[in-house]
Amino acid sequence: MKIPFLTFAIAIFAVSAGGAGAGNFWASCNYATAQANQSLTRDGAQTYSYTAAYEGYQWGGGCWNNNDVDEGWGDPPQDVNTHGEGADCSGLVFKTWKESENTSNGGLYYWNPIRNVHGPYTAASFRDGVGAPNGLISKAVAGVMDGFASGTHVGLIFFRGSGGWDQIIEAKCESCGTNIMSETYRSQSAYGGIRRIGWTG
Amino acid sequence: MDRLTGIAVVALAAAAAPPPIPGALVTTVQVRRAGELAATLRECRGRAQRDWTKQTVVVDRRFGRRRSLTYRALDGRSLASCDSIGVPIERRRWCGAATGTLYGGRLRDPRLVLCEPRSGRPIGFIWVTPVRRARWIGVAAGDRTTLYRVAVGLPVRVSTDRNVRIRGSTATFVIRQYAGNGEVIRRRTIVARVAG
Repeated sequence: MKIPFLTFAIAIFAVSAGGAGAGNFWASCNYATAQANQSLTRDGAQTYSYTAAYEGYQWGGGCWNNNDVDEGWGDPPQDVNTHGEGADCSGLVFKTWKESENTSNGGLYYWNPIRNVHGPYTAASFRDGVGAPNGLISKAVAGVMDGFASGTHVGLIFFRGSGGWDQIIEAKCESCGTNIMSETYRSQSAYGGIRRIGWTG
Repeated sequence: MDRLTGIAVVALAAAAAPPPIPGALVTTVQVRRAGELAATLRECRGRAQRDWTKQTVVVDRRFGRRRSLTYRALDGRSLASCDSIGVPIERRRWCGAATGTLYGGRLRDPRLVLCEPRSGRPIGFIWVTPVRRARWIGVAAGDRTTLYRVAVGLPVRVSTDRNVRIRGSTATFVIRQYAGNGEVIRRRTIVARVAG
């Protein structure tokens, strides 16, 4: 009698929100037009980026609901078709930095967290300063809401640390999600300093 | 021409002829050593850590003014590309540099790169992983098919200027894979999104 009960319990867990890769979170996202915006402050960007914390990670994604639960945890990595909750690393930077989907447009656009958008940039694009809104900065002077990017990952400085360590807000991986993490990107040669052009405060 | 290039050119020439598709455009491919392309690789891979040696095999593809380079990185688990559309964008000759992670020798994501020239259509590049027996990859766009020869067992970097959408950062590729005898062995439409 125990085996059928155990099988039933596993099945229930697998189809619930706690199960790996459950559901299609993108069905609850929207595709509204971005709102042109005049303000891009570093503390505002900090606040916005933190809404993504605990919301998970989705390869190619950019949509979360700010309830501090990852409704798409444990999907296979680097599969855009899993349609889970959260941004990936470059999607989080794109939305936090209020960028346009058009790379020649350096203007400011507010994207609601639940708006599903990733943007045209990869981590390597940010590392190389591709696009009108993106620039490079010496790692030594990179501060709050500037970032560090390599060919495969990008994150933003939430608090500047010391000794090569910083508190980085980053969409890191399917299993580790999005959060503020202590990282040594400032001292790693694979990472370059990046900045948003056009801060208003 | 060094020994490897010579061997590769002979091997590619001996491979199957392109499938008989009316009006098909055949792209060119060369298999080269990274040592020959060192300056180019340094330029296009930008600030990335060097992930190749002089002996690394690079697949160099050209189609009109477009060009792509593909090689397997030193870690053995990832692929690297350089993509160009032949016109500088933001003063860069190479508009994109993709890195893809291999899982059991296959990519889960085709690693879309979008190149947006000031005028003209945006162009998207992706990798297509050939199935077993595939010798040619075809990209269909309207009544035109562009053919890419499979080389050294690596995923094939293909491009299109059709169905590339700036809004949503996506591109749709209609792919046909052909065996050496011209038989279509796989049909697939890939909707690629910028990711990672």
